[in-house]
Amino acid sequence: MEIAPIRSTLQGEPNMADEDDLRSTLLAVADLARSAAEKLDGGRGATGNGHRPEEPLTCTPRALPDRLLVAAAQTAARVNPMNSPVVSGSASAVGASTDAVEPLRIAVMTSKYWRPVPRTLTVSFLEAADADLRARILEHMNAWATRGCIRFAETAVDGEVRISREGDGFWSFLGTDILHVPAGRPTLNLEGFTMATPESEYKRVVRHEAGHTLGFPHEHMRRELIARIDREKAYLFFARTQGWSRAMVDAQVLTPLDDADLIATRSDENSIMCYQLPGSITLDGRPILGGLDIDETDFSFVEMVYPPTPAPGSVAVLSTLPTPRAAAPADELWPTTEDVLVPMSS
Amino acid sequence: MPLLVDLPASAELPAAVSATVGDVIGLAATGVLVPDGGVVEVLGPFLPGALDHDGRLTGAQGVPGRALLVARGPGTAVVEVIRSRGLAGPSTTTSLVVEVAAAG
Ligand SMILES: [Zn+2]
Repeated sequence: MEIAPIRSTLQGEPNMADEDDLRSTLLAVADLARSAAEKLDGGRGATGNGHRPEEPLTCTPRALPDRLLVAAAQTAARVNPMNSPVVSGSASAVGASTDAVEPLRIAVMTSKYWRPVPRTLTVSFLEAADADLRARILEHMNAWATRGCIRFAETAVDGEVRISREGDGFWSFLGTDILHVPAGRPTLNLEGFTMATPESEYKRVVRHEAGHTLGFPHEHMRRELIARIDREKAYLFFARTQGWSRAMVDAQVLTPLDDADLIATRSDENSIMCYQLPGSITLDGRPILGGLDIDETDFSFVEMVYPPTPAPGSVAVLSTLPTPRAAAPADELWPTTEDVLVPMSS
Repeated sequence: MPLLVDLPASAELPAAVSATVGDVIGLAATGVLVPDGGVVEVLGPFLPGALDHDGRLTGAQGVPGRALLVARGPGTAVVEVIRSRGLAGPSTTTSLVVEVAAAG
């Protein structure tokens, strides 16, 4: 996951000569944000703004409260007039040049993120495990908490996160989806993990699965990375190495995430959320490296999604507001008082 | 009466299993290669899923790790059970002989 350097662009105030540009940009962005949201609500948004109804605005706030649209547009314009938080990949649809949209290209989603406020998710183990093993798993899950406001803490039974080491493979339900998993069933699986498992596997697997629990999707499912894959080679490779049908390869590897489900910008093949894929199936012969540990862009991402501490005198920033879809549990749709605030300077 | 037999991930696969038409065997597998011939059908592989508040199915994120073998017709089939720890990592392939008897 790679994000634009938001914090570095926060420094400094726009000068007076920029005010008119800022104002017009602000109005355009606010209008665009509202149009995009309306379009998602029923295709009514693409009128009178010069964009064609059949042209999808691929990165749009699906459920952003009205109260945040203008503030978000204001902030986006103040941070960097070039930023257009809701128009990723669709510059022509908004009358902007591609260059003007590229620097940030922030997409807003999201479906399965937790509220962006400090929180402890409880963790229990479904099978007996020694204290040192439990502590080691928790320690790796909490690698994310060194930079984000959500941490994991063990509880004896009935945790929100329930770990099994006896199920098949490595997986986790995504973010708030763990709340839908019936009690007593695992939400996160670490097949065969013991104290003898190498530290590198704890970093690669436990941190990856904890990332899913925080709501982070697979990085290798990004459109840019999938575009590097030779489809026919992929079908042959995965049939041989995984026993997969073409349909399974399509579903597991070749179907990109919906842009509307993304917050971050450009792809990061070193993300801990990115699977390794071999050079034998890429068009350029270079492997998709995959992440072996949480990298700096992952950390920047978790800081953005789950900011450690809102600062006083802050204003809401659209690009940092994960917004659960309606399908999220009702208690994950937060009230106004819990809007994320991000400082406007320094 | 058809049987549903779920082999846990930790269980070592036998070299051969005997089943009757209609039986279903669940096993840990990233994928299973099944020969044509109508003796065995493979379903999956699957990831675990759950039901959300709106009645929609939601799934875990990861490499699918469980498949179902359905005994469809009498005969013998040799299936290849594949397991891996990642899409580019090493995978193991284990041959499993499935002998299916007619339902009786
Ligand atoms: Zn994953």
